[in-house]
Amino acid sequence: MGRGSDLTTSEELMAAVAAGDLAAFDQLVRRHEREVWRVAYRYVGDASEAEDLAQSAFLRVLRAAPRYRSTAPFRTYLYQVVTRLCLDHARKHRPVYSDELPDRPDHRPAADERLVARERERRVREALDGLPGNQRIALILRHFEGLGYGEIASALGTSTKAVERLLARGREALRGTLRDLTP
Amino acid sequence: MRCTRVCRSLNAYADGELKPSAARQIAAHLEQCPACRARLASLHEAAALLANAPEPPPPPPWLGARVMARARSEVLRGSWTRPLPGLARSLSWLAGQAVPMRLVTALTAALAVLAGVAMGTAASRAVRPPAPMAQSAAAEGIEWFDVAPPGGLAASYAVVDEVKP
Repeated sequence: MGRGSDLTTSEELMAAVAAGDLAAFDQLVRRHEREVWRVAYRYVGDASEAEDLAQSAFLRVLRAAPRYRSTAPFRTYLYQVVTRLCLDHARKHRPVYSDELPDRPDHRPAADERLVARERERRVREALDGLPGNQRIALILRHFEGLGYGEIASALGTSTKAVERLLARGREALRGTLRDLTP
Repeated sequence: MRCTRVCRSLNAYADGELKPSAARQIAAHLEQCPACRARLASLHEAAALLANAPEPPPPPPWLGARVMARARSEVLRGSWTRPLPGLARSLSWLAGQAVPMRLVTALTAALAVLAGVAMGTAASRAVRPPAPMAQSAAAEGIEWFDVAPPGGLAASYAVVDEVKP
């Protein structure tokens, strides 16, 4: 293993990657694969496509390593790469729904509640998929990844005010679509 | 503070993105305004709805290995270790310099271009212009400028044209 194993921050690992250290890249991938996967999966809703997106994201990071400057945290940069790939993907593909109801009825206790919960999950998933790409990714980054407006703005290449508007429109659309699920 | 102004900042307020002073103003308004409180509640409802979204499964265990396999093949192809070809590398070097150094470099490059243009112009003037085409054609005995050179298809047409009533 190269000197990547001794480094601590992702920014330092990126500097090592830029110098040609593949072990440092391996460490970066293992450190961040969960967040990249989460965003990609929540965005496309399909494991195979999410894997393609995650792989592409890391390869872009590898190719860009020599040009990377640690003016912002690596995590913000990584979200920017994943966000761009997700938005590109949305332009080329339609959403895929993988959560299908079971073919056979489930007679175990509380089966009804599980079905209701799955139906609710499916409705939320579809409502999220029905949003324009930039609203969807803004909501994902805010609600599931816990990013601040500044980080989301960096990821989307826009202003914090624009992020606020995207979130407002996205939330309003979700409430409109899922009105019957609100208490 | 008016409701319209509060509405514009309500999302940022709900997300804890406002400066403390602005957040205090909105909180004070919310205490007195049931309509804005209802709007804030609807934002929280949207957040609660998203909590119903299905949890993603864990990433496939082979994800990291596949990324690394593709990374190694890129390195073997040499497409990664030569990051910035030609002009991009030069510009990247320039971007890393201090401002005075950038100015000196830009000025030198501009002078070099000007010198090149001046030398090119002077050299083209020094070359003797070619003889006019008519003269050189006559010198070679070619009747290029006849309306219809004898023996050609155009000459036949010319004859037909003359025969017409």
